[in-house]
Amino acid sequence: MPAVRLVNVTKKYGDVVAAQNLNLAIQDKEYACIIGPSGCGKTTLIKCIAGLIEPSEGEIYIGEKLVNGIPIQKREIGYVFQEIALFPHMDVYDNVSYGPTVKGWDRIRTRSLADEMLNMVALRDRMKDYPSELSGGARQKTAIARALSSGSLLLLLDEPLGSLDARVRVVLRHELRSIVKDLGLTAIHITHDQEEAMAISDRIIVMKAGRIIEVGTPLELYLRPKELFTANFVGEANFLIGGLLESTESETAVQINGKILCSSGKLYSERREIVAAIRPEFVVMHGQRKKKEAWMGKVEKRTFTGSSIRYEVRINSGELIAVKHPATTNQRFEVGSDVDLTFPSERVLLYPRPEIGLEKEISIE
Amino acid sequence: MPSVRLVDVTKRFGKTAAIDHVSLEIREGEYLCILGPTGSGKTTLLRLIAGIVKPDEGQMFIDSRLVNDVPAHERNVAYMPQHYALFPHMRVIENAAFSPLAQGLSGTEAAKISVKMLGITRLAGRVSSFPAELSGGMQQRLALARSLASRAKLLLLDEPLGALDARLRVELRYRLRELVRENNLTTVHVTHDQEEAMIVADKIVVLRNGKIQQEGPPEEIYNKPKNIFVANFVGGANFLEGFISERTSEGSWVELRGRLRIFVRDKGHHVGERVVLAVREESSTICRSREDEINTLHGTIKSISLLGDSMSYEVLLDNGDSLKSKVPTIESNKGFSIGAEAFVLLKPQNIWVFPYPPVGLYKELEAM
Repeated sequence: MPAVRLVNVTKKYGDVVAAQNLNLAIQDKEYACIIGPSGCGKTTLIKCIAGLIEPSEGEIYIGEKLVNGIPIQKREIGYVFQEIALFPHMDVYDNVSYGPTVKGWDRIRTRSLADEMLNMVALRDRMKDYPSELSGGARQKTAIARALSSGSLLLLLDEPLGSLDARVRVVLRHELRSIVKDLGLTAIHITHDQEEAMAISDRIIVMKAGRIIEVGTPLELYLRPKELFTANFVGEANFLIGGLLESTESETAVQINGKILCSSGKLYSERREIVAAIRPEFVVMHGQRKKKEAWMGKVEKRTFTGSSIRYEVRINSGELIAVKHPATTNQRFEVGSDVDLTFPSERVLLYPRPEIGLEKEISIE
Repeated sequence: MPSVRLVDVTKRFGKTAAIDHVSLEIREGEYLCILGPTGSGKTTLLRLIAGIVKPDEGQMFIDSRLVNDVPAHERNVAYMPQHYALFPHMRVIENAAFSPLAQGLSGTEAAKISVKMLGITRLAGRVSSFPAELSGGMQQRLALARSLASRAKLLLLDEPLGALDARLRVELRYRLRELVRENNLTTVHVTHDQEEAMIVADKIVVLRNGKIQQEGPPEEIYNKPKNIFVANFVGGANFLEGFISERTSEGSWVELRGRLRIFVRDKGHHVGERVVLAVREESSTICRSREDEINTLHGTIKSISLLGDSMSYEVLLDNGDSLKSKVPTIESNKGFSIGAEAFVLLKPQNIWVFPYPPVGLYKELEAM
């Protein structure tokens, strides 16, 4: 039984359609992330599930129950916002035990639940601290513990890590996933950070301009994105425009700048114009050997990014290709050196060229 | 292009020293990133250079001129605050022309300069829009155009990409870097995002509690962190607690909990001393079998997560410690699954050894 189900959900504000015809089933105990650029409708979606916004059309089910018209406090959900909303005059313990206390639980039962939740987020020794005495990370963990102590099995997280420093975010996202998995909860987590989504979710839902455009596991979306937009939004990609030559069941050949590029699998396209995409770390780079099938170019830029080195290579036909190598490899290319690039066919993704143009299609603004 | 020098600068708010005896030099044309967690004093440092706050102690020079008492508008700096502070009632072109007009240039001159800067920041098509009609990325570019239009050669940026979506941030940081280079500016850029700092900066200053922890080029900071805080904040690492159990002519043996012994190259610590070992995730290699005798640690896979170009495997070692190992996604198809047996190989030359922090490792790491 899915934990949450949306059937043809649409939300309009006057003439503006914030969410259009959304259909989605989140499985029980699943950790799902919803990603998309600003204004894509992801916040509208989660607010509809929470009961903060009433959809204009369509049905929302939590468990078996149709929840349209049911207010947030009766939907049995835990909700964590980006803006950490703790009670400033209450210490950590009182914040976390607020829900059970309001519900009229007795002291012993409240105490044991609050203890369990504080253990979960490793804040038991900070019980007596006030929110102002905590770091941003600890405050957000308190907010999570408070949401968990509501006892609900569905956790809605709206940019829960958004206000934190980059490094703290990386640490906390793993803790968040562990808590959800250890307690057997279902989580729906909204984020603008595609790396965060990839790192912690079972499935990712990609939204754009009010619609769900693709749903898949992190690895599916990263290695085999069905949509051109996803290829760009979920991780970096190089794009080249060309023409379709031939497509069989096993392989598709395209022509780009007079060179032939192959991609595994069949391409179903009514258009002859295509876009080829390849991620920077999948491009193979060698010192120039003048092999006929290789793309010759010159290294224009080298950037150290920590765990990897990113090169920008100007190929002879004029395009700039990003290439990424792990920093741990010994092979280094200097700026100005001549190189050969090859694009392994199993890593080349092909898409029909969008009618609105490549730039517009992948735009994230 | 200007240079900046701070000599033993301190700034207090009440009893707290937001900037605590900081000395710093920014060379002409340099792109400097001030990197640190929330509350480390990085915005204060930038505001000191801008002239918005005054130091309590120490001297500040811009181009060898002592500027301690020089007000902000006489310092010839372009300061871009965190939330841009665009004028909401003014159109894009009016926002961009603000500084030139305030400097007393004629309307025609001011318009010429602002049109040029809006061209550079790719906003030429939106001159008549109001800020509220622009996307987040466009607002950021407008703020930048307005700063550039002041024609100051010292650019001070407070979290210039902070308000943008993660994916857009990644794209714009490369453009920001190019723009600065093409316009021959000296830049100070404040950020909490170590990856961003690494990519845009010539030099990084890592700040914590108002004190400089380390400064140097990105590669040096990443590859030779001076302490646990820098290793953790810049790039993250695996940390293991232990003590030096033996010293040899090649290095030292460190005993972890559960009597697990690890060999390190470091010889700077005495036998019996408590230490913390640190290894980058990408320098700890996960393998299926005991490939090497030394430092091959046995465990089971606890979690797997995709980071994009790499995958991170968390291995729970037999002694109860856990280690993360990063593998390029392209090579990740080794059939590892959660619960499976695995070995982690730590090469002695990739292990840093730090003294055990007085506040304890957990507190030291949490203090981010």
